[in-house]
Amino acid sequence: MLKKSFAILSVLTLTCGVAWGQGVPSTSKPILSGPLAKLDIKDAQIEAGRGAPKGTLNIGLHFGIDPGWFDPLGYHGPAMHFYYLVHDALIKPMPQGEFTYSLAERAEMTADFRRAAFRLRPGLKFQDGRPLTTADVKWTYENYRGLNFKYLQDKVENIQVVDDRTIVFHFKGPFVDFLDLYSGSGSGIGWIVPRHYYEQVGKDGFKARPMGAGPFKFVSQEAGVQASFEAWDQYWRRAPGVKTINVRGIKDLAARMAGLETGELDLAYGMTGKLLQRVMADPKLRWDPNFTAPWHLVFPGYNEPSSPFHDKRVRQAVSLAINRQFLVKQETQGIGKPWGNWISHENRDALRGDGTELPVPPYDPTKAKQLLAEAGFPNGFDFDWYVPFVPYFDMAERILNDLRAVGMRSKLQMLDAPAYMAQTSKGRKGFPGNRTIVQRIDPRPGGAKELIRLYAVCGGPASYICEPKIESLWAKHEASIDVAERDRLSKDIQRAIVEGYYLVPVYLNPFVHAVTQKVLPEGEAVHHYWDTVNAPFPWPWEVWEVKG
Amino acid sequence: MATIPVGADQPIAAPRAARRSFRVIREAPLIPLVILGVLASVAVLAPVLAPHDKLDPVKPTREQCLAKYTTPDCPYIDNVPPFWARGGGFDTPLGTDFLGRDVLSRLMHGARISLIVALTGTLFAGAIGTMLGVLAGYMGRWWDEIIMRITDAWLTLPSLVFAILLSSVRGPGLWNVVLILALVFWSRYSRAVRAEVLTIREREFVKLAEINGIGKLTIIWRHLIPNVMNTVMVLFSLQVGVAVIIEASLSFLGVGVPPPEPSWGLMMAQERESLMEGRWWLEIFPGTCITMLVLSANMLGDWLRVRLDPQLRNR
Repeated sequence: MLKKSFAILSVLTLTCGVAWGQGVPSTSKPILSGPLAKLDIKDAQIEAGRGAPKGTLNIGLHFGIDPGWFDPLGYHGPAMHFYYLVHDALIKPMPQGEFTYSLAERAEMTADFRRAAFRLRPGLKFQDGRPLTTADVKWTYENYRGLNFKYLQDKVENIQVVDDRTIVFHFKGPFVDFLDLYSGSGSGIGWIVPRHYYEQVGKDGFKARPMGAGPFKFVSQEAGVQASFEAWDQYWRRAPGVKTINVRGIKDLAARMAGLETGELDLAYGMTGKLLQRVMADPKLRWDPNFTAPWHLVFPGYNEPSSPFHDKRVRQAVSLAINRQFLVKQETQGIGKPWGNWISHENRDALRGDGTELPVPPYDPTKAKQLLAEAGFPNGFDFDWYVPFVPYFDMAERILNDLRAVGMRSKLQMLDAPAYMAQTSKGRKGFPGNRTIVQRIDPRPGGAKELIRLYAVCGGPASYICEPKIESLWAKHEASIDVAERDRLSKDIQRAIVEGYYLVPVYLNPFVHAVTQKVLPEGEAVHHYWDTVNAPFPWPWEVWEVKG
Repeated sequence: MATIPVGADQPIAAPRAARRSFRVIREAPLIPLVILGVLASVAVLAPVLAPHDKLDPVKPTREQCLAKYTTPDCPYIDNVPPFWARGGGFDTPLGTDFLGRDVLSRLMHGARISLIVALTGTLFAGAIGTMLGVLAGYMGRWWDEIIMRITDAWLTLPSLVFAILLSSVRGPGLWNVVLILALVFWSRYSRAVRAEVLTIREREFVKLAEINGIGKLTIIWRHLIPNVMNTVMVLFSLQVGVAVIIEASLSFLGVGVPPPEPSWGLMMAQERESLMEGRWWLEIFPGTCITMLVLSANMLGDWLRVRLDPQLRNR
């Protein structure tokens, strides 16, 4: 599969093998002096002189739209869908590679990882015609308040604006992961916000009418329900293929299906579940399995002694109770893959959970009951809530049913998407009490270490795990600038997490998307829209084309 | 000389009372009463009557597993149709849902939840609304002003939207839905009861009680509340139907009774997609139950309204 090959090919080899900036073309003149780290950043595919945008693409999102997702300064996971529409980043994941030049035409890091520099493309503009300069890049970095902001800002000693196109970040110490976090996938900090406009309209005004340097201009929104975007034909890479994109938040699978069948929608997400068979059987629809990341369960507050999940045997019993094979059959018509890691194999330095590097968790309800009895719960126990990922409530009830079968009883807490995202982004702090299981998934390009940093270390912004053993491995990881050693430590941490049942992986999720005949190209060639590595949504949007 | 025994007219009075009772029974809405009676009995006896567990899937046979999944062992068979349809059986007469749970058993337990929520929610609303209405009507002055302005404001709130708002604050849960219903519906009682009390407080028996120095609380308890009970009962019976709808709507929208508990509204919500796949029984049965309960409660309420209003009754 193309996505898989990109995952392997786009490995960012931040080795200490030094590349001296010699013999480069004049447009790629070095910015930094001294030895440089070798960066594997793909060139942008610029397609000038394309025809005028035409047609409308109607998208059915599987949850409500939060206006906060239009503002990169307050990053949330699903927001990336909208960043790729309205905004642009210096470097971002694209079909060409996990790190692909976008607003920047050149990026460098010194071999000691203490400085990073970017040169912007000439003549960049925001959608209002004002120039996009390094002053906007600096301002965005300094004013970012989303995920990882403290970590990112604490690392920086100063940001030097050399000229309108050249900027240098000076770090307090080696910052090996800088590009991972700045590449547009690990946080919102890499997506450049127009300073003049943001200061003019304020935070709320920006959420209401966002503006950026991306391929589509924001037109209108009905908070939570729908947002419309129009092609900006002066986008530097190419004129978008479609003229208008309408995104509608439709939580109900039946409504999305009806939208596809009636032609009200041209692209719909999250088509797994009860109607997947219907999607597969419909000759007028084409679908892409779009494997993203593994579903997994977390236990907020498990490390408090009063939690039933404090005992490793109980967490192991949770894993043993889940009939993954049957679940995959029921939910995904068998295309999902039972998985033994909570991080996608498409993430760099991730262990594969298909039995090659980590075993696929077995289904053994008898042993689960035995472990519960040994842990002091011979009759099982009730826990407060099982919190499903929105809107996968059927799957959650199937898992809850498996847990019930071995004696772990609870009820579903069905939140709306913005509430779920807000709570889970706080990690353990988002869930009061310590008798809750939260179902999660986090498909994001980049290294596995970014997911560990987020969720599995004590100081992580959305931490669910705080374990001395993991902390010690993580401290070594953070102290090291040897890429091979860091990869090894990252894998040791993943193994420790899975073997300690701090997170319970379920299956690798096919986040099925379906398109109608209106979407071009015809036939199976349509799958190229899903070529960006580990991307939950089929960006970039400028390449989409529909029948006029 | 023959003597006429004392109370010789008594044999005449007895048939009149019997005739009146007979007329009441004859005019009573028998079908709604039977439906409500059956639903109430099913709700009470659900744990005994239900053929299967409300939460656990029905254990399939080896043959069923082989037929559906080509494997001898499976946890459940989902979407089995009702007994009269091809593939159905008497073990699960109304079929099974997406988790292989018996629809009939879940409907029976769902009746329990719907009735508990609707009755207790309406009861609490009635208690709060009646007390506030009596206080406003009898105490007058600033009591009346404050309570009635709040009531007016409350009445302007669209009930379902308000219920969703409260539900998002309180979170899902059976008793939270009860609380929400009480908070949504009390204002309807207070407005009607106040109007009634304004008339009653001017009647002689209330004035006499006041002249005799009887305390206000005693007057409220002994003279006012018993005299507004007719109105409260009629409102109660009419509001039960609305409460059932609100509970079903909240559960349908995912903010009511949380799964896996069976509530009729939730059962319908969970099987929205099934209707597209032709699995009509998963929507029709809970929908029919809601319709029957609401219709019966409304018809009973209408009948009570007529019975308890002398003007309407004698028309």
